[in-house]
Amino acid sequence: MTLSEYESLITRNQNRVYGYALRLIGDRDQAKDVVQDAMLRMWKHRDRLEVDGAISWLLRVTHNACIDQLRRRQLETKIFHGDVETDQLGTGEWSPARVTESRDMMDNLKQAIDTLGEPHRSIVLLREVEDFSYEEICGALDLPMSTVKVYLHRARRRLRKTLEEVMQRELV
Amino acid sequence: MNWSDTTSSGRPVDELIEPYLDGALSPDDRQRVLTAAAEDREFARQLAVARSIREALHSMPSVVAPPDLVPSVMRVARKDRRKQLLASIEERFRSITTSGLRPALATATLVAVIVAAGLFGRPAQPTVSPEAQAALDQIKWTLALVSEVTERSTTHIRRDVLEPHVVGHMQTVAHDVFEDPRAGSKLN
Repeated sequence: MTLSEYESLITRNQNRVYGYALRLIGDRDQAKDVVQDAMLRMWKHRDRLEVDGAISWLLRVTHNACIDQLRRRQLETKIFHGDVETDQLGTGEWSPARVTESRDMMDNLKQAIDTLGEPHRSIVLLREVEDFSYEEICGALDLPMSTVKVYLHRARRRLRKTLEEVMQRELV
Repeated sequence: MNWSDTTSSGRPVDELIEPYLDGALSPDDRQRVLTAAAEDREFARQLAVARSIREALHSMPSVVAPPDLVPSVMRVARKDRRKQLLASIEERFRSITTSGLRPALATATLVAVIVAAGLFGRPAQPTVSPEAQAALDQIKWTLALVSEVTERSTTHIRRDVLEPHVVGHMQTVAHDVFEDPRAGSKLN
């Protein structure tokens, strides 16, 4: 990968990669640090990377770094606000009861995404929010295509059930 | 139709909601979903919720990376690239001068041509710094002089005498080239 190919790739994808990191970690400075480190690691390994597969590699490094960050502050929880300020580590213990009621669909959805465990949450963020391709997601999470699609299907169903329960509570 | 019924493929109709929204169903299964939605209010509600979730996910506010994210990364990458290139030029020059002056001259000339191409090959670029221009001129004159002397006589110029006038000046030239983002891309 040449210098100009590298620059073109990171420029083109910076918003989506940073957006993914920010939505996982919930902290702007930490997300920036994670993405910068991942980009520089990609530069160091550029001789081993094909341009086509480089974005998956970058996503994988970013994803792993974000998960490490979240594990470090596993006990810390915050509440989502309008812009993505905070996050909580999805522990895999799916519980619609953890979603506080709000009249705002977006607030409910953000909280519902939060209740998903990994890798379901990452798959939803990468596919539905940041619009990465299935191939890029498979490379990033090191999962076969069929597994990614199954997880996405399950995650969507969980989101639906979570939001239905929240709406039911609001009606009561 | 009860939306917990199965389709001919054996899948519960409920399972078809997401593939339906993906547009990934056969015409038969698609029709079953539409029929279920028309006949069962609960199923229709489920379908509507699923659709709203999709729309909300796709319309989440997009995030813009900090403006200095890529520039700061590129500064490090360019600096690293320049260091590697200079190291390889110096290494090549040193290894070849031990085997004779003519190959060293050829190599240094080639490198000077490459650097000059990087400088002067840029379309509509501002002039290089006076220091870089002076360094490039020094390289060219040194090589021309040495070549002339070597051709006409048996005099050999020691490597340690020649090196500062070629490799040393090369660093000044390359610094100018690689510190200018517009020039760096020409010398990948």
